[in-house]
Amino acid sequence: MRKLKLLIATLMVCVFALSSGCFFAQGESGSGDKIEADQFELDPNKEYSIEFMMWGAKDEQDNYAALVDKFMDEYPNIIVNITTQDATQYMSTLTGKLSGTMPDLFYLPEYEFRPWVDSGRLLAITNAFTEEEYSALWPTAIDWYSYNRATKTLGVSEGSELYCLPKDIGPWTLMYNVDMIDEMVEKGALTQAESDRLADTQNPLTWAEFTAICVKIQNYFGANNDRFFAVPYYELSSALWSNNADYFDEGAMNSTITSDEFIETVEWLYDLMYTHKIIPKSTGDTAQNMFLARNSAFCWVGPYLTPMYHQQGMNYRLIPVPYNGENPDAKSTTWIGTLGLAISKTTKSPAAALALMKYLSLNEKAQKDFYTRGQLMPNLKSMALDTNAFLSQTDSSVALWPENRSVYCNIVDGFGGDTNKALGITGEDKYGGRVRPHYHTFENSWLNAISVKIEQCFALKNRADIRAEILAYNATMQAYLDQSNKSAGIIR
Amino acid sequence: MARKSLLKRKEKVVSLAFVTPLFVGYAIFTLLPLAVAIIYSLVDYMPLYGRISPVSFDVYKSLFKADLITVGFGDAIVNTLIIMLSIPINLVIGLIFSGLITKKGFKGRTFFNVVFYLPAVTGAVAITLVWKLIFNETQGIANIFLKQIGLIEENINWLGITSGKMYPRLVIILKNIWGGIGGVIILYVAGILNIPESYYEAAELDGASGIKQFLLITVPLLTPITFYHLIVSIIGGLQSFMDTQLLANTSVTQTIVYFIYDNGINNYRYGYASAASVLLAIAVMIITILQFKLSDKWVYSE
Amino acid sequence: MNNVKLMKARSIAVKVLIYTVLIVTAITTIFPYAWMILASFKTGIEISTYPEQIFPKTPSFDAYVNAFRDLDLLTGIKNTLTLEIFSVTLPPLVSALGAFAFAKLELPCKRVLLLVLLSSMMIPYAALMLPQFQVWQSLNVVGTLYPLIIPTFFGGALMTFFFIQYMQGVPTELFEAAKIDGAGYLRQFFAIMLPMVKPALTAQIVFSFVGTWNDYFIPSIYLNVKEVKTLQLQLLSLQQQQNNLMDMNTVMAGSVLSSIPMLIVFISCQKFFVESLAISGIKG
Repeated sequence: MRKLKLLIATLMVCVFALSSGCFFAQGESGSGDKIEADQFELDPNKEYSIEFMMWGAKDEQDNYAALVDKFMDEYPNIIVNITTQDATQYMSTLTGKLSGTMPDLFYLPEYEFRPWVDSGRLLAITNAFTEEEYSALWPTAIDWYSYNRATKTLGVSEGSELYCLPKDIGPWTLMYNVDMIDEMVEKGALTQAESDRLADTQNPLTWAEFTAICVKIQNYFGANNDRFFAVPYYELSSALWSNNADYFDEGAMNSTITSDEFIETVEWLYDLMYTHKIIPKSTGDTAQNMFLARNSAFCWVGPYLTPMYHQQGMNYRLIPVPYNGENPDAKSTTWIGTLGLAISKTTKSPAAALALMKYLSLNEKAQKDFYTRGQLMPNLKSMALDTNAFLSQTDSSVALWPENRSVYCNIVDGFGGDTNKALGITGEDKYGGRVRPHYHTFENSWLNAISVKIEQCFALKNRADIRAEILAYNATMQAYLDQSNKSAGIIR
Repeated sequence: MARKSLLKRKEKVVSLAFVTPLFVGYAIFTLLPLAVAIIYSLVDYMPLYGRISPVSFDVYKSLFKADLITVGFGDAIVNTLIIMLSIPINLVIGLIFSGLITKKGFKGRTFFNVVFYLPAVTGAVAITLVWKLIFNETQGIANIFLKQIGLIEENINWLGITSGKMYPRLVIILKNIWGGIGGVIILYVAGILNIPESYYEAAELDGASGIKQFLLITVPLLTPITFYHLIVSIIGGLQSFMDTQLLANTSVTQTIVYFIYDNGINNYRYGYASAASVLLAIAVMIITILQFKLSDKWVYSE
Repeated sequence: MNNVKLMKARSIAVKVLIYTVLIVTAITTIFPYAWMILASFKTGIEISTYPEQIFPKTPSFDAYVNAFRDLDLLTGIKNTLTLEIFSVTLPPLVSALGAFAFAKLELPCKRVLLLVLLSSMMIPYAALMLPQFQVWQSLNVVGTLYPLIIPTFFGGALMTFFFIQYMQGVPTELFEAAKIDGAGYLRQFFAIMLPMVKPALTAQIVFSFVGTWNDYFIPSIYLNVKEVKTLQLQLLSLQQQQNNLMDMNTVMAGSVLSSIPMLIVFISCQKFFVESLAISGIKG
């Protein structure tokens, strides 16, 4: 017995000794995420070997492998090892690597950016760029990936540093089936004016206009048709922001879901389902199929879907998301998804990692190649707004893209007016986009939770109960935010 | 005498050597991680920040924080327990079916054994995927069939949230019954066939009916099997996880283990995840010990 | 006379009822398989647009072509079989050897050791998941098969416990006789004990086999690189890559393909399976 106790005691000591060693990933010290600019300069006489970690569907993996091969041809002294993961396992593997060896360059989705940058895992790259390189990028992308660790604030500000470059920029907006609308105009179910209104990419529809057109479409296909719906589902964030509502205040400290605008938005969506019956009550699981099978007139779309719809021979046009015309502060705003490229702070070859990062994000040839294949819209603002490149009406490189792809630029440009300038249109820029909401928080379980809550609201028998349901949920929403902030040491 | 004690010592050494791998494995893969989990939970370890707080029970307390309990740990416990309802149902149905297919003169016992056991040998991933297809809200055959026979009018959102929390849980329970019944039946059938014929002959002489024989002889004699199965399936049930991850909407059906996975792996909160794990481990231990203690009261022994 | 007829009629009625219940249940059990196979022969449009159609209009093999393209079946089978080789040999042997010491040898502190062993069965894997992951991570072997192979060298508590129960029924005299003949302990184990517990051993091998074939949770944590994915994990990533109903036919074809090997093994060795399971229940 005594021997056994001794044995157990010894074991426990070993456990504690071991655990302090390999079980706790080293914490990162306060401000040491900056290095001197000259460390970003490649030494042509040195051999570099770096690891690049990514995820993606099969063709995307192949495309990136080809691109990295080209990169290695241009930089013969750099060897890149690509590690690919499943999207679902990606973040857990990356976190696991904290206690082993981190990859030098890796994908970091925008909604993981804040915890990773705040905990000091990313290398600041501000001083590795020339003024020219800076201005080539979409300014909004620089803003997304800038952070001030001292004040814990996102975005470009006094004392902030840049930490990532965008791998891609993906505005997400509505589109409609042009053939279907044309057919309805021909048959007199829609007026030419309404069709022109839809095609007008300068002035977003108001909610009322959008609803009226959808109702006409729905009636044309049968008001109680359980296969056809004008719209397969609606993006909650796009609806909220286009009514000047939001989930939380700036800095994601306080929940704002009890605001009238928030509740009004949910009620509007409820009406689309129950009063106008233009959205099915079930989820958007099959939205793309509905659109492809011509079982819906509208659908949501982003640049990465371009090759698929082209392949399916779909004739579609983009529109800015509708906004609440009765709210004077409301502007058409949808969301933009993005994936960052980040360099690990512990990298031994910052110069090589940076070279690859720039190549993947900024290289003109690569960007042109990507948009020609319809994979993504250019990260380079100048290229995206170039009427001889992405906005060209004649170039064969844009054959896959919808004709009015400038809507994508307009959304990313975000009320800036540069897209209009490039197209030679005078007039105010009336719509834009924002990075997805969980970008602002340290943890993102709240988003799934509130989405479920809103879905529950849509299942209510009584429209009048929505308000109470949301008001009652506010405490939980606030608790989520508090918990998220607490993980970064911010106490409300 | 001396030789004998030498032999004894040798036997001790040899037998210790034989069990060494088991205990080395135990130390490396159970004891050490468990100790680490306990430490994580006490210091609220956050791997991303590499940060630890002073030792306290704060993490345990915040697991039971009121605002989040309805969507967090408390909810996970409730879901887990509800999903475990399939255990008693399985036992009862399994018992009845085994009684039926072991009846004298019954043909096709092997066939039914095999059919009922099929789900248990099929890969869980494939099974879950086909269930997902069957219970899809708009496109699934389940809703279409129920509508056709007039049982429902509106599509039920079986795997999601909008029709109520009840449905995804029901689907998981059904799936667990479907997948687990075969094993129960095989166990019981083997048990029933082991009961000496003479028991029944005696009862027959007393004029006991078939059902009475089943209740008075078969069921009590099968209690050891029932006991074994209960322990195994309760321990298994407390750890159910897959259906939440693959089948239904995670937020409605999250189980304790899913909570651990979600917090630890998805949210970098090793402290929370570890605290939940430690509580789960304690619960499993208590239940197992209780079952053994209570088993004297109802388990038949010769 | 009448009475006998009535009894007969009643007994036939009961029989019909029993068979009806059983057959209906059996059909329900098989239904998902049938649905899986039917769906795998449909086109994507058929699944997503005409779900009420039970049979495919014209059986299409597109889904299988796609599944063969996207599933790396050979790699999957190779990885699964590599894991199988270890999991059907080592754990049963190591556990049986340990159980032999518990059941038949003069093991010091037997009761305490047994309790320790039992306690490990009560600790859920979830509790150990994160630290274990960190150990493998710090050894830099995540993304290889090692995190699943190395633990097989140490046997398993549940298995050991099961063997102990079974071995206690083997007469001790056999070993006394062997000892007198001068047989060593290892020889006693291999020459006497193992043959005596053959049914139990087969049972454990069968369960290890099925368990490893179908396991997805632990492998999904460690085997996150496509070169080491098992069949189950390939199926999982196939499903995750094709997240809409249109491609459900491909996923179903993949499910059919990944299930077939195990079903063949099961149906051809069903007697084995049934007996093994029965042993585990009665002895366990």
